[in-house]
Amino acid sequence: MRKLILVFAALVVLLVSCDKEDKPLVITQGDYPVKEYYLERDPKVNVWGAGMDFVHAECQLDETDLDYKYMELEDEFPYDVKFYVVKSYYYDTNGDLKNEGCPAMLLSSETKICKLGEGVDYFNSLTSITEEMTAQLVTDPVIDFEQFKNETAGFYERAPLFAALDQCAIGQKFRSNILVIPEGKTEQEVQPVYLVKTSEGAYVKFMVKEFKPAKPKEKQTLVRWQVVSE
Amino acid sequence: MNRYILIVYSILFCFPLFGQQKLSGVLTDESGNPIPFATVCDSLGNGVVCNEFGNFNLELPDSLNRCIIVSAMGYNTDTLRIDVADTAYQLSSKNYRLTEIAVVSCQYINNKSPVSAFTSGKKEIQSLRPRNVSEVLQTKAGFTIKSGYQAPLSLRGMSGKRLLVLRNGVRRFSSYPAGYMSHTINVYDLERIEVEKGAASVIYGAGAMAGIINLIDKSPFKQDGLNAKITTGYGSVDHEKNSLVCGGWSNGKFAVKSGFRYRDASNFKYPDGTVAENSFYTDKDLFVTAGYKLSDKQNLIFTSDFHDGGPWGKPVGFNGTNYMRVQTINEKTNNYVLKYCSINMGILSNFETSVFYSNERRELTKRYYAAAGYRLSYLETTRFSDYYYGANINTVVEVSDSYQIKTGAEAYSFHISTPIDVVDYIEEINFNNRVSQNAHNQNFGVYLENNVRLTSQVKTVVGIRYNKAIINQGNVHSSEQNKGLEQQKEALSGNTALIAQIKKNSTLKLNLARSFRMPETTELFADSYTSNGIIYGNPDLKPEYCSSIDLSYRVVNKYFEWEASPFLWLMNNMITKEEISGLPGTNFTYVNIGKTRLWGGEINGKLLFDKVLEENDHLSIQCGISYLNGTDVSESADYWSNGTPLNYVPPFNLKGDISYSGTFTKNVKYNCKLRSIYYSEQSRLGDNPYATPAYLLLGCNLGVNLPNLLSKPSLNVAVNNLMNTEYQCYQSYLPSEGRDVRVFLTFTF
Repeated sequence: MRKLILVFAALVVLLVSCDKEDKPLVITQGDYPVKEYYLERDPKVNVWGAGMDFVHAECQLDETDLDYKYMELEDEFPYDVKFYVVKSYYYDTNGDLKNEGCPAMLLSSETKICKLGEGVDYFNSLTSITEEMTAQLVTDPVIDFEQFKNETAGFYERAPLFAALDQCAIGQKFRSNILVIPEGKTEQEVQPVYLVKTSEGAYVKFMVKEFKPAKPKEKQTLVRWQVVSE
Repeated sequence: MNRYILIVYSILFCFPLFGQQKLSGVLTDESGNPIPFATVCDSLGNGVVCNEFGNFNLELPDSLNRCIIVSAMGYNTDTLRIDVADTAYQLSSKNYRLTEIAVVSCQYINNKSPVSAFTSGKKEIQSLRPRNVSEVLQTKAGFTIKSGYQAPLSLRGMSGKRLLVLRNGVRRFSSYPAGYMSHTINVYDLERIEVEKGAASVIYGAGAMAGIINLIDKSPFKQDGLNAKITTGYGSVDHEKNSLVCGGWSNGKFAVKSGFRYRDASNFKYPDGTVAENSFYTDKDLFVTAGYKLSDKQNLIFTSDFHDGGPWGKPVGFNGTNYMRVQTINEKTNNYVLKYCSINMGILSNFETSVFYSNERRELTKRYYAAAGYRLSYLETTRFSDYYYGANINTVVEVSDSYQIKTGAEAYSFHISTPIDVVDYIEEINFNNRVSQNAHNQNFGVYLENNVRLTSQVKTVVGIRYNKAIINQGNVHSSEQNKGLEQQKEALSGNTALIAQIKKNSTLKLNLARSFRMPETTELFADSYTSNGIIYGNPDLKPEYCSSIDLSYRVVNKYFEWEASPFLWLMNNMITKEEISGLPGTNFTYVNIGKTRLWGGEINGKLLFDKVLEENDHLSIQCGISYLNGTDVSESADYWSNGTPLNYVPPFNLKGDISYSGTFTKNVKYNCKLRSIYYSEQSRLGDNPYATPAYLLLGCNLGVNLPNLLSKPSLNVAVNNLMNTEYQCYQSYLPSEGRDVRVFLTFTF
């Protein structure tokens, strides 16, 4: 009897196994799909910026084949918005040199932008563009990062760089320590929603959905956009 | 799948109902009073120690003479014939004491501890062929393994600063944020691992909140003449090459023993066959101990162990990005302990004192690569170095037959420095920063514990401890704090325990305790740069406390033994990280607001069979169930409200094994084991990435020994993750290792 029970127990243990399945999540809304991408936020990884090209120049208002690209130092990728992160350095009270990532969204010279609202719900509800909206579109000031470099040490000075980025339409406004989240609200409810007019003339709604997602995506930033009809 | 698993474990738990007889009894003196902690051995010397109430259970193979040898302090050693119908055995008083009994009596932690406790012996350790202590303990209910080579120890979800790790009773420190890492010792040097699950701050001091893990080396005196053992091994999942050599000599008065391990492994493979890049390791361990017996009652033992680890790496993606490679390129730990022990010196039935010194160095490198072109962009090297020294004294005073006082003191000083070198290949600059520079923590504690035997069945324990810490920030301070350079912290802890024999073979333990841990230098003063942001020290931190109720009910009879050990822990002043605003970046500071509620427990069952398939075989079945519920109630007014589930709490899990040993012929012995570990889905956490799916792991061991041949060769095969299951350890978002076949060949001289 014991022999039988022993053999049975061993067989049952051996027969048990686990299975696993992965299902991709597809987001589709209106004529164009909503696109979400996790972009590297660490300035040591996203060194020369992640350029986002919302529509191709060659086939206007079509989706691009390459929605975003981590750019090289010399790169001609025709981005509309660039997620650019540099290390800004400063000396602390101990005299130690410390650095801090300075993540910012920068527009190309031919891109215009305006803030329309806040939150993912507003993003989803925005389905058409009005003249009132397009009247608010502006370009970003051109920021010459080189002018913020410390002449002797060669690194970016934190304080003047931050001040310059504050002049941008998006700049650093999506950062978790700059964005003010009222009591009872979540980050996704207060992240600004922007209207972007690309160099090709397409209108795109754009937002940072999560500045710092949960693990294992904590070192990335989640962006979301969708092309909308005029 | 869950249904199948539950069926398997139900069957395992039903096995005790079909149990066979073991020798059980109670040892008494001539007056009929139980004799606690006596030793009971068979004619081969395999034995057990009686519990508090003189009860014992002993496997006695029929091939041996039906007799046992019993001995205890103050009594004549006697050889007794076994009468199955008689379960009471008596010893007559004696006017001198036996030296070896005191040594033996301290080995069996379960008989001494007021909380649930167990011991993993050398035989069990060797049979598993583990890589580290974590792999041994993960087979026990309550313990969980988190990762591979650099495995932190975790008991009931607690690790690091809330779980105290000792070696031969001396605390071990570490510069790792997750606490003591088990890869820094050679698990094959250990004679046994003693574990107490529950608060133990009174005896062991700061950090003994979740429990203690005491790693015990074999006494150098426990060997006869000259001896040596050589083992070589290979593991398939990472091409691990293992070489183990140990040997020693003793003449009874002098003794020396040494062990050495070398291992080298390349990157391991995930179950789908892909290589876990950057997961290699190479390390060496050396252990040396020497002893001198001053007299039959006193001895002096010097122990040292060295770990030379590195280089070793964490798999790419371990830190959440594929663009960073984390490697430890050099890791050295050196530990020295001198211990003096005496027994029965005047009113002191036991006296131990140790002095210790340790140092540790490691270099942690983080290489960052640009997403465009995968070019090296940034190199950060942190040179951790720490050292600590101190002394402890522990005494046991036998005031009377029913009253015992344990008292002792501990003092130590821990120093740490963590300079960081940086090379920025993009900006083309180099610089050096200091996080800590000789930050140190001096700690002093005294304790007193009263053990009173109220009746022959009931014992009470009441203890109290006072600790004082002087914590100095060293030469570098946080850029955000402007308070004093030095902080003094005090902590008071205590416990009240009841140990009672409910029936002849069942014991109940109830322990009410307040345990503590002190804030550390890094938490008080230093700014730590982590993957999550900068963590600023907070000099206003107070000690952290845990009020706990630990229960243990243990039944040992002729057929089976089992134990249930539920607990409730209410932790306050928990030191946790809190995000701070007003500073650039995502940053944190340490705060005392933490308040958590943990409850749960373990159920363990064990059964031994003889003569299953043949005359001299043995079968054992063990199973352990563990459940833990942890909630952060920092935002609530009391401990009983709803809160946020703690993400470091492991899910419900079941562990079991079936072992069988026998003989092919007179010269060939064999043993085999089938192991299983099941973790349920971490469902309490919702969409949290720590909500790992359920998994079942199987493993097996096979050993063949030729004890009568020259050099006594033995071959052991251990297979981990037998079914090559894809799974994630809780608190991990990387898959774990695939099937690993490990083969070891041993020769003994």
